[in-house]
Amino acid sequence: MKKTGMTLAAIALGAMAVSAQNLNVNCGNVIYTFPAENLGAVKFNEGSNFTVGNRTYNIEDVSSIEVDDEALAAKQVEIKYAGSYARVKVPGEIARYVDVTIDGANVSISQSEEVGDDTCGEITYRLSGNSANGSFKLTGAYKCSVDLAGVSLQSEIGAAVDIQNGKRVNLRVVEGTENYLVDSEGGSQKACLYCKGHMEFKQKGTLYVTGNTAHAISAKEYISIKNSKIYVLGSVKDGLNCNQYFSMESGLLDIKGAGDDGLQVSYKDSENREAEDTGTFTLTGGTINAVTTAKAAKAIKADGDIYVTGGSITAEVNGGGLWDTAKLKTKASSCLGADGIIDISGGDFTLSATGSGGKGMSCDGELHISGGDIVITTTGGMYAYTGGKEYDNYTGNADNLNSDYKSSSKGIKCDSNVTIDGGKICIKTSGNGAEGIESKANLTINDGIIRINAYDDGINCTGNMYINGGDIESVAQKNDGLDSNGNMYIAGGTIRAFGGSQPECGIDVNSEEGYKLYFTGGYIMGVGGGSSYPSNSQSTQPYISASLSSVTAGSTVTISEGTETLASFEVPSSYILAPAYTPAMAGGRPGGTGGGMGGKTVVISVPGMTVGTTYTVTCGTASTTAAAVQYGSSSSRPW
Amino acid sequence: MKKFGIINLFTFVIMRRLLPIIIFLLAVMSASADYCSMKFTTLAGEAHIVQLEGMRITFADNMLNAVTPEATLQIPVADIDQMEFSEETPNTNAINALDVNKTFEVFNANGLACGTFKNAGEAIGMLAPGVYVIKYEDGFTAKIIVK
Repeated sequence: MKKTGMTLAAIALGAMAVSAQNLNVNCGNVIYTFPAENLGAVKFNEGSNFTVGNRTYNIEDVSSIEVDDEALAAKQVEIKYAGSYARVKVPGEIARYVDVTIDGANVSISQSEEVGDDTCGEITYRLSGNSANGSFKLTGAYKCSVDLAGVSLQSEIGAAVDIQNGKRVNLRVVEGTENYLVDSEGGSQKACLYCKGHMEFKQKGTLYVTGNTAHAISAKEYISIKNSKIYVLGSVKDGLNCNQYFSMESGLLDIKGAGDDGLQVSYKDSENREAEDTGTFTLTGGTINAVTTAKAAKAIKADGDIYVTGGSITAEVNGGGLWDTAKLKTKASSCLGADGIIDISGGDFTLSATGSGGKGMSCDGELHISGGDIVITTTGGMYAYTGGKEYDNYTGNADNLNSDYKSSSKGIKCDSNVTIDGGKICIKTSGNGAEGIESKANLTINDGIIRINAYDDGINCTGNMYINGGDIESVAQKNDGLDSNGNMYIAGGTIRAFGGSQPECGIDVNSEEGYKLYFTGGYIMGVGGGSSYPSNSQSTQPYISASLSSVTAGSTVTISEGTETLASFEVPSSYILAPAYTPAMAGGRPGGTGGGMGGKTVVISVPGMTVGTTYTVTCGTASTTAAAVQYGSSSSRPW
Repeated sequence: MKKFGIINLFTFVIMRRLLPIIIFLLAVMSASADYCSMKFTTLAGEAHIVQLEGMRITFADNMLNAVTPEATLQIPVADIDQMEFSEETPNTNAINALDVNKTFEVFNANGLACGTFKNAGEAIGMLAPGVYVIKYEDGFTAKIIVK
């Protein structure tokens, strides 16, 4: 019975939809469609025009009037492209609010400023069909929807879709359709798909965009994406460029062949910004793939902050560094770049930077990671500008170069504080001077899993380093595993830090300038040519320092008291046995008291150790003993 | 409690039994019968009723031409007061558009070409009484009766 009832209703509604007669006023390829029902009389006025519904037509503009029974969605303008021409169908109820101009397959629609809540409300413009010389331009001052319902446009006169409407524009990529937009080369348009207002991509269809003059997709205000699958196939400038903010909660954004940044979010106004003018990139779901080969370009760039709580980002930057002749400083590429903060609480990241000075993430503000799975690989060397020449892989002594004149590859570079509260971070850098994580201020690790295999320092900070938790494995091939230029406070977590051969350290604190190392908790092992040591009574967890003849990749270092093993530390397979130390390696620096010629200085501190107790340290066949101390007379490094 | 019970019972009956039927009846009522003609009323009060099926209205030389497969109506635009959908029986069923300055081909009932004419007047003068199909250059076709 229920089924029968619903069937009756469906049949009736279907009958309603198909039985309606329409009066079509054809003005060339523009058809104004008025339902016969309740249309009333069409009044003629002095032989020059007539009025249908709410619109008056000049006789000379009308090519014919016909009747059909084709159903037309309410308040929806249909634009159908067919090669060299386009046909536009306008429902009668909004005919007075829409003026259409067609030149071949170039359609221009002016939406009246009368459109609003108290008149006809929101109008939908539905595009379909194909044209190799077609475009769509829309002007208006009230929110609207543009449906891409299987349209393929290649413009010869500018943008393929140009929406000059400063309000909210629903850009609906209709499910089950594929849409292609290509703009003209050498034009003045800002993008192949441009919107003067804010553009909200919706629905599950697929859109392919190519920007042959500037950006592929651009909006003067924000862009949001939900469900849609958007492919940028190439662009002279940014793949996607917007202002105010960018947000994505689902769908796919795939950007390849960008001539500048893959995705850039800027502030709309330089001052007196509205609340939503944050320059922020936010990803809560969906997938972003972005590749750019431009020099010093970012795969994802925000003038404000970057927030990621979910979704997936796969980014690749292949461009090298660049000397900015205006600012007189180097610029380098980065997969994620923010002038503000980066805050990651979820999501999957696969970031790759191959160019000189290329980075996985970089931000001017603070970096906070509390979740997510992050994999970063950089292979570029150091970009430098010196003596009026650019170097893509500078191997000279960079210590004397001002930081404005050099840019090293890094997994993560932050000009402010770095705080890691969770997540999984895996970083590999292989170029000269490439560090794993660098903070130009304080660095704090409270939780999370961190795996670093760096050419230079594994984790480095200019200020203090605080480690309160987490599982940290940091391997530095040519420098220090952990390197704090301020104090280092280790109060918890599991830390395995491996430095290069002498004079590099597993754990390094800037003792030369009076900074100190504090052990108050945690399972700590540092291995390197040398090490820093606690030197203050506030360092309460005892430690031992021992020299092992070898510490090899894949082995296990254990500390035991008699037959009781206090802790075991795995030596990662990425740890490469550093070459034996030679005085020449010291680079003129004085020799120290570290691991010695080819030996390994091992520093271990674990809960339960007591001052004065002798512990045995073993790695494979190598074994030694040392007595625990709380702190030494001073920090010391091998130089 | 009793009141709520009555309301729930009413809601249930409406939703499960009556609602589809109500929707059906409303839909059928609203989907009224199609109009069958277009009625043109002149300023002088004359009514010309043209069948809707296949009707095409064009404007040329200050004239309105309403052409159907069965008839052609031609009225000076300046004389027209209004046109409207109608359910009245068409009263225009013979060719009376004498100055349609559009070239068309004429075919007889057997599909044989009878010639190309510059306007309806020329065709009427040349054709024997009968039923013909005319085809304009733009592809539009119509059936005409020459009496």
